[in-house]
Amino acid sequence: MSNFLDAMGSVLSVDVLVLIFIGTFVGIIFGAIPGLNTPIAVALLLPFSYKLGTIPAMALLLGVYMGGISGGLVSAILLRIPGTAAAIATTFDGYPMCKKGLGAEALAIGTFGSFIGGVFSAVVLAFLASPLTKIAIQFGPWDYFGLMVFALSLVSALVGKNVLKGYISMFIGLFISCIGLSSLDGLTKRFTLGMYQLEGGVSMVILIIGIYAVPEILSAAGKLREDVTTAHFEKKRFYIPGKENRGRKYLPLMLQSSIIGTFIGIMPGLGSSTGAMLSYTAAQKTSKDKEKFGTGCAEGIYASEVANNAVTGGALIPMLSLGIPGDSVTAIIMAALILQGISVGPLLFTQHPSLVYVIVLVTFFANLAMFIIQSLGIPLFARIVQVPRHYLLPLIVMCCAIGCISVNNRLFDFYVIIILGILGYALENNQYPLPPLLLGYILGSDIELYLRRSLMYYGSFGECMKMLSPGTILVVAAVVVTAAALVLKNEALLKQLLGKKGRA
Amino acid sequence: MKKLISLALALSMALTLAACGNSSKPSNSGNAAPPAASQPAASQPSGSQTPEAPAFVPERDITLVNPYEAGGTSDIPSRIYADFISKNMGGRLMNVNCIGGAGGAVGAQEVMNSNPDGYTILVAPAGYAMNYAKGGLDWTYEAFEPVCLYVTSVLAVAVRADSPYQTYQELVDAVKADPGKINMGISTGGLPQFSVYAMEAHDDMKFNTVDIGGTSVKATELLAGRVDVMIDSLGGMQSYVESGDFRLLAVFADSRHPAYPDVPTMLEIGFTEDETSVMSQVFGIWAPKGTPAEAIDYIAGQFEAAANDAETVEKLNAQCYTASFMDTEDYVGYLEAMYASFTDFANTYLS
Repeated sequence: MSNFLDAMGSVLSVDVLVLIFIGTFVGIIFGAIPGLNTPIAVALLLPFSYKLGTIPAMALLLGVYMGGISGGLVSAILLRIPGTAAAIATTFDGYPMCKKGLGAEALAIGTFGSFIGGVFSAVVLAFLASPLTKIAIQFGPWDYFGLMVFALSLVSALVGKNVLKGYISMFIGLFISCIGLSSLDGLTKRFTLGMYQLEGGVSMVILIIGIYAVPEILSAAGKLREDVTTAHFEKKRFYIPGKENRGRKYLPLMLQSSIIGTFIGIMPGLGSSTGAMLSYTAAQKTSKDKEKFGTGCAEGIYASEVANNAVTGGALIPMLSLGIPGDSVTAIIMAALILQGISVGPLLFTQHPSLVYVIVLVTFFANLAMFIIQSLGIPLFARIVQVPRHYLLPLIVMCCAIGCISVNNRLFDFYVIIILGILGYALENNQYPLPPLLLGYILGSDIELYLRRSLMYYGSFGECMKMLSPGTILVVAAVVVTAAALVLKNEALLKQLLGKKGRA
Repeated sequence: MKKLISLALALSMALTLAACGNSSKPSNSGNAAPPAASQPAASQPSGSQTPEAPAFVPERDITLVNPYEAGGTSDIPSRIYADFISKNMGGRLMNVNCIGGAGGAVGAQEVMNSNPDGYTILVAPAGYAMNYAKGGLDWTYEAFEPVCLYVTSVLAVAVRADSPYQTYQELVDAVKADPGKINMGISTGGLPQFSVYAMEAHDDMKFNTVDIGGTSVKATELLAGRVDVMIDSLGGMQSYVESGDFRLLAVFADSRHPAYPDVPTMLEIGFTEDETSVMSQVFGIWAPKGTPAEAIDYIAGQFEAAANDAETVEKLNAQCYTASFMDTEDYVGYLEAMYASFTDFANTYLS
C-alpha cells in the first residue's frame, strides 16, 4: 500500500501531469494524421526521455502511446481513412454515422469507448499482471499460428457480404505481406522485381494510405459537384455521447470488447489492429441486431475503440512482469526504461514495486487526459467535414505525402502508393471488402514465421495437428467458421440444402 | 478557448513537421537536403578535434541505423553511445533509427543505398559475416566503408533453473543420448547459429535447433519450457538469471565474466580458439561505400571519445556490454580475419 501511495505522490506532481498531457496531445495528433503513427511518435520522443527522470519519461511516452491509439479514430470517423492501423475497424460504423450528420456524436462515442477500454486494461494491469503473464507465455508458436489463422478467417468470412470476395481480398493482403526478404531467415528475395526498395517489403503506413486514402480521394473527387453532406452539430463545449448511445445496455459489449482487447494485448506480437477487428466481429456475432452493424451504429464504434485502447494496458502486462514487450511501442518504452538504468525483467515487481504502480497510474491519467483533450477537441475536429472538399482533399493528400516521406524518405514509395491506390479503388468499386486485405497484410509475415517455427519445433504440419492444443482447435475453428459462413451467406445454396433435407 | 486550441494544434503540427525533418535520412534523389538547416551550422564555431585536415563538421543530424528491432541487443548499446555523442556534435544529434527485418539485411540494404556523405551509418553485427559465410548474403564489409568497432557483448548458454542439466557436460551427455530431441533455441540469422554448429561439431552431437525470434520476446520460450536450452547475449538474460529462472552453463568469452565468476568459459570446457572465434559478438560501425575519409575519421573519433567516457562505460557494463573501441585500420584488419575464420568454419563444418 505504501508503494501505491509513493507512486500516487510522484505521479500527482505538476510536471508529471503536464508531461502526461503533452504526451497524450502529441499522441493524438500523430494518431489522427494518416501516415504518422504511434511507433514513430514514441521513437521520436525517446531521445528526449533520456534527459527526464524515470517517472517523467514514462509519463511522456505512455501519454503518446494512449493518445496515439485513440487519435486514429478522428480521421477514421470523419474521412474514412484510419489514422493508425488500430482504427481500421472504427471506419466500419464511424464513417456511416458521420455521413448521417452525426460526426460529432461518433467522435464522442469513440472517445468515450477508448477511455473505458484504456481504464479497464489499466485496472487489469494493476491487479492481474503476474497470473495473466504466466498464462500468456504458455501459448507457443503453434497457438499463435492458430489464433492468427482464426482471426483472418473470421474477419474475411464475416466482414463483407460475400465470403469469397472477403477471402480474395485477404489473399491479396497475404500476397503483399510476402513482398520483400523472407521473414524468418532473410535468405530469399520475393516479388521484388529486382528493385531493392521492395526488399524491406511494403510498409504499413504506405499500404493504409494507398488502400484507404487514395481511393477515398479519388471517389470524392468524382463527386465534387454533388452536394456532399455537411455535418450540422450541436454547439457544445464538451461532448459526451448522447443518452441513447451510452448507459447500461452497452455494458456487456464494453466488457466483452475490453476483455478481447486486453487479452490480445497480453499476447506478444498481435497488436491493437487485430484486437479491434476481432472485437468488432465478435460484437457483430453476439449483437441482437446484426443488421445495424456497418450502417453507423454506436455498438460498432464501441467494439473497435474500447478494444484497441484495452490493448495498450494489456501490452504493458508482459513487459512489466517478465520484460517481454507486447507490441512495437512497448518495446520502445522498455528500451526507455533500460536506458534509465532500470533492468526490466521478472524482478521489476520486487525491485521497483512503486514504478509498477507509477505506470498503472500514468496509464490511467493518460486515458483521462486523452478523454478530456479529445472531448474538447471534437468541435474542432468535426469542423473538418465542413471544409469544402476542394480545399480539404489537397490537404489530405499533403498529409499523406508527409506520412509517406516520414517512412523512408524516398520518391519510390509514392509510386507504390499510386499503384496500391488504383488497386484499392478497383476493389472498393467491386464490393471487395478492404479490412481482410489489411489484416492479411498485418498478420501475413507473422503467420509464416509462426508456422515455420512450429514446423521446427514439432517436425511437420501433421504432427502439429495431432496435438490437442489451442492452436489446433483454432485452426479447425477457422475452417468451420468459413464453411458455415459460406453456407449461411449464400441464400440459394441454403435453400437448396434445406430443400434437399426436406425431401430426404 | 477555441482559438487557443487551434493555436496549440497548429504549433504541434509545426512541431510534428520539424520532428519529421529531423528523423529523415538524406534522400536518394538528393532534392531534400534542407538548406535552412545548413545555414545556422555554418555560422557555428566548429568544435572539431582535428586541427590539420579540412575537418568534417556535421551540418545535419547523423542517423545511426540499427538493423534490428527497437529495444534489442544491438539497440541498447547504440543508444547509449548515441546519447553521449549527441552532446559533442556542436548542436547536431546522432539519432538511432531501427530498420529491422530479415536478420539485419533490410537495414544494411538501406544504408548501402543511401548517400555516402557521413550522415547515414550502420550498426554492423558479427552476424553479417556469419550470414555471408553460409551463403545468405551476397555482400561483405567491402561493400561498405568500415568505421570502427565500438562494443562487444558476451553470449551465454542458459537452461531453466529447474533443468536437470547442471553443467555443460551434462547437457552434452543428454544430447548424445537422445540425438535431435533436445530443443535448442536461437534466433535465426544471428551469431548463435554458428555457435550451435561449433558445439555440435565439437562433441559430435545433434540438437533440434528452433528459431525463437530476434527480440526480447525470445526468453518466453525458455521460461515456458518449449525449448530446453538457449543461446543469447548475457545482457538479455541477466535479469532472468538474477530472478532464479535461468541457469548459465557457459559463457562465450576469453575469460570468466566478473558478474558470474562461477560460470566457465567455452575455452575452459575444452573448445579451441578456432572454434570459439565464431562465437564472439562484436558490433562495429559501417558507412556507405564512398563516404569521405574525413567523415569516417570524425565518426570514429566520436565513438572513441564515448568509449573512453566513464559514465558511458558504466551504463554499458550494467547491461553486460563492454566498450571495446578499435580504430578504422585495426577494425578493417579484424574484419578481414573474422570473415576468413567464418568462411573457413563454414567450409569445414557445413557441407
